[in-house]
Amino acid sequence: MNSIKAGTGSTWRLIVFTLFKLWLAGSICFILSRSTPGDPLEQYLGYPAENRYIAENAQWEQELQKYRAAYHLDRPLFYFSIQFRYPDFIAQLPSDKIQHHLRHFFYSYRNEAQLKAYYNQLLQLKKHISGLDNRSTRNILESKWSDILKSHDVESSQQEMKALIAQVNARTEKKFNPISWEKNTGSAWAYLWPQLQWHGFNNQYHHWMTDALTGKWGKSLRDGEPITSKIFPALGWTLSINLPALLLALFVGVFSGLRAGMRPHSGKFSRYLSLVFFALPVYALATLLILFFTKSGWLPVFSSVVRPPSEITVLDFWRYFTLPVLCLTAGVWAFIHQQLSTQVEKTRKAPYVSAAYFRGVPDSVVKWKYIFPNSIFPLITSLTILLPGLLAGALAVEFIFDIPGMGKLLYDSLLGKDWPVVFMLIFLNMGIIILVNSLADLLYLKYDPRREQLQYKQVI
Amino acid sequence: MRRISAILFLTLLLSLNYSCRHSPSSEVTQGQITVNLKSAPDKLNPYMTTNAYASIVNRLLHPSLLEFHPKTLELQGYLATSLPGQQLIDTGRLNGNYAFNYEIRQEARWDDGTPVTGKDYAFAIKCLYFQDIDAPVWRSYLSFIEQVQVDAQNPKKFSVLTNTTYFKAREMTGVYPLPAHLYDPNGLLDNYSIEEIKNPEFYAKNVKPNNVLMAWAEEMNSPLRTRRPEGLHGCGPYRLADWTSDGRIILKKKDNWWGDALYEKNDLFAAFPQEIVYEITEDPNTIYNQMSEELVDVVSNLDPALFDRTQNELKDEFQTFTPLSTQYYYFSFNMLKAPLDDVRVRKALSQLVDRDKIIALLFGDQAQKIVGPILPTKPYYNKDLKPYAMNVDAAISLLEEAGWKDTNGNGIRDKKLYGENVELSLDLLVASESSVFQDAAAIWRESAEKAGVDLQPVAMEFSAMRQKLKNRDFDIFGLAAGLELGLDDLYQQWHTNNIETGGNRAGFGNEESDALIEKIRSDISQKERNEAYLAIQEILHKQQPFAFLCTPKSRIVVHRRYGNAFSSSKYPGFFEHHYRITNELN
Repeated sequence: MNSIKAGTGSTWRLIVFTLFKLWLAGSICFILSRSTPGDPLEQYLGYPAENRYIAENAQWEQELQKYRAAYHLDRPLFYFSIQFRYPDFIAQLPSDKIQHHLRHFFYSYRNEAQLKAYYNQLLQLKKHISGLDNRSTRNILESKWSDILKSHDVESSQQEMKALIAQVNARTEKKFNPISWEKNTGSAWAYLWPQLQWHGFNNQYHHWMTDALTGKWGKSLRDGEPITSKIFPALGWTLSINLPALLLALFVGVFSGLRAGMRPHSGKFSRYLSLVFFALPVYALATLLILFFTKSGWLPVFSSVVRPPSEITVLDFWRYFTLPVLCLTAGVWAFIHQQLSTQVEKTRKAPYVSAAYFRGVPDSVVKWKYIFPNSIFPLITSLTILLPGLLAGALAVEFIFDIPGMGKLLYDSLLGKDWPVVFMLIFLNMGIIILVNSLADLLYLKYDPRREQLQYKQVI
Repeated sequence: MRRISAILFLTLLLSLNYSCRHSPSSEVTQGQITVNLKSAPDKLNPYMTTNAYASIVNRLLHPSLLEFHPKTLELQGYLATSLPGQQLIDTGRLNGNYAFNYEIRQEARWDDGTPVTGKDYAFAIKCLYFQDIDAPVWRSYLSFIEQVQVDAQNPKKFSVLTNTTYFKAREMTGVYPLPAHLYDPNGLLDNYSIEEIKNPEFYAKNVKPNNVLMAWAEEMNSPLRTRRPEGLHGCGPYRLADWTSDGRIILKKKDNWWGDALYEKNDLFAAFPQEIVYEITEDPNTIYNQMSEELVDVVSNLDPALFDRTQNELKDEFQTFTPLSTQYYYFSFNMLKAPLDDVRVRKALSQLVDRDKIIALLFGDQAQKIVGPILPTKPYYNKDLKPYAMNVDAAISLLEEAGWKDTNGNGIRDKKLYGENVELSLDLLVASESSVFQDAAAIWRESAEKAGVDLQPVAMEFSAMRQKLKNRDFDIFGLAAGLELGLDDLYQQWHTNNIETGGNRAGFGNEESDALIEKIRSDISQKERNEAYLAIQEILHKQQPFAFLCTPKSRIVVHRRYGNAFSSSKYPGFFEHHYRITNELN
């Protein structure tokens, strides 16, 4: 009775831990999605400099803002943010760009007096540049002035400032002198106390997590299709090659592993072969198979089946999926073969097996009733390790054999910068792996007699 | 046991052989042509995409009023009977601006037999300005259109009233009508004028709160109207028959298409294949293998090495074409920052680019050197200018003249700038996705080293690179840009107004170049415009804001069964709807 209670507690712990892992996976995906360089919308919609269709920059910015709001990208990143305080006059400036620029200087020199002088000099320079008669020169110098504000590197900003001052001095009567910055070593650190700002639930993280966990995966940025309608057909294709590969590898692997373990000397060849397949990357094997079969003309190389997976006939499957399935099978078979042959070899030497032989139990009974059940158990748990490998392998195989599965969808979405699809796919893959691992742990908890004994011992 | 294994092995061999006999290469359908696309199109509504692959499919579903002829490269009427008449508006709010008078061909009809009219064009423009429809790029592009007035007597005739005298306005107005009666059967947009929809205040007050209109916009944005055969309607020669789950797009020729009757007089209306299949494959080796198995008939921009291989190994099956493409490759200097603000340094660096080597090694000799941002086949391309040749000695003397000398003997030239000794060491940004630019940067770096210039290629993901370019945080970068078939507008990339935030990332320009660019855009004769084009090319050549590299040739492969295949500089370079199987020609 006590042991049953302990088992229930472990199950609850497992469920809580699984939920924690799912939350962690979602958070990692969110952080990754916000760490991609550049503006995701601008990457898809285009940028005026590259797109001759875009005529007016200001109008374009308005369009971008509208789309940012639709994708919640105009909201704060998280529930709260921590900001360092800077001299009050910086916070009161109207332009974020200038504030940002001055903060870098303050962080480097912590000299408020010089910072104010620098800010005034920037304003004076701008005023003098705006007063220049020659429009082209004015455009160029205004752009240089803006470039200084864009720079986050204090040293390069100073160089650019010197260059700009030299050019302005050559064109106006007023002469400017670049500021010689001095570091304040006094009590300026007092400004740097962090300030906490609360943003509430209307933030990007909250929206992302809520949508991801409740299945509201949104639309593809690229073609407007709901993400679910892209992912589930792709999942069908991926399973169409992964399931047969897994079953084939299991079937062949169990027989070959058992045989190699029972006859260690004659099983050397299969063990070396499994080593080769285990070490050979899927993409290399796929390329070798394509080269061989293209030259020989034995099998068509491409999965050019114009039917959804549910409508594929046996003949279609044989013609188009033999090579991709073989590619995926090879690595998994190698893993199963090695694990099982090693385990069988160990079990074969166990005293109860020898005792069975001495009692005259037939060979086949010893093999299937004594050795096999005791060798297969570690393999069942290690099979969960195979799943991530299969999903990763599917990416290469689907790309090379042109199969529209999850791997190819991920690849295409990455190339097309379709980030909503990319990160939902990553989240889904992580979720599948977490759930399968948890399921294996649950089965392990339920069926491993040693685990039960251990728990019972702990309780008493 | 061994006997059983042998039988199993033989069975396997026999079944492999059986499957081989069923390979698709023996199943070539008459009237079907298969075209390779490197990437899948996104949307098949011409206003909701700027995707280059979508435009290949869209041109056969949604024809435009005006079209460049693929052979002559001249702008012609397609849905329109001819180029529109251009007139100055002399009354009202738009006084002094252009209006364009179009007439749509009498034969032009939608799939259900309804004639294509000016109302369909007006509807397309309303859709475009409808803020909640996903057409931001085209909305910005055509923002100068103010009204479309349809002739009450003849609905095929209409005038497009603009708020501009922009020199490309005529070409730009020749866009795609959309079927008003199919996309807006309840006439929701009939209650609003273009001016009202375009007005942000009116839109916010009267359109945005209208749930029926918002639901309609949602449907227009949905895959039904952009990706599904049942919801897509065009007046082109083909209809979308299927977009399979593996990304393949199948177009079927319409029965009794109205344009067939016009082919005898104008070959722009050619539409021969009964079925066009677009096969999406990116990997070059996979494409080549598909070609070997004759699973694909048309491929463009084949990998240079595989293009050569095709010419040798598959010459009996495939014919090859190399038309000049409409893009060019360049390295851009940041003219706003020292030391590249000195023209001598830019010229020296440009003379250190071994263009011949780049073209030979990276483009398989299939590219043409250029002197400026104009397609070399244009009449106003400045043929008097010669591309900068590789000349290390000349580059060294220019650098010496600019004061760059190796004073500390470390092999890199240096100079005192603003009181500090600065070495001639420059970052060269290239996209990590582009092997061509990474290799070109390595070739340039090698020759620059001979002149004491330290070029540091920095490969970064394109979106990260773009962010740097946007912030003007670079010394040099390498990119490709598009060229126009129509008149070139140099404003976006070369006018000083666009230095701070626009497309003039090099920071090029002065009073003279600005005046020339504005003159080109104004209402002048083509002769005067050509002179201005020649002059600005000369300034660009002298100033070298870019080290212009080359215009690559498209490497196009078409199966030999299409005896009338041709190619041209018009994108995408191949014209699958014009191609006919040889025995059909006889």
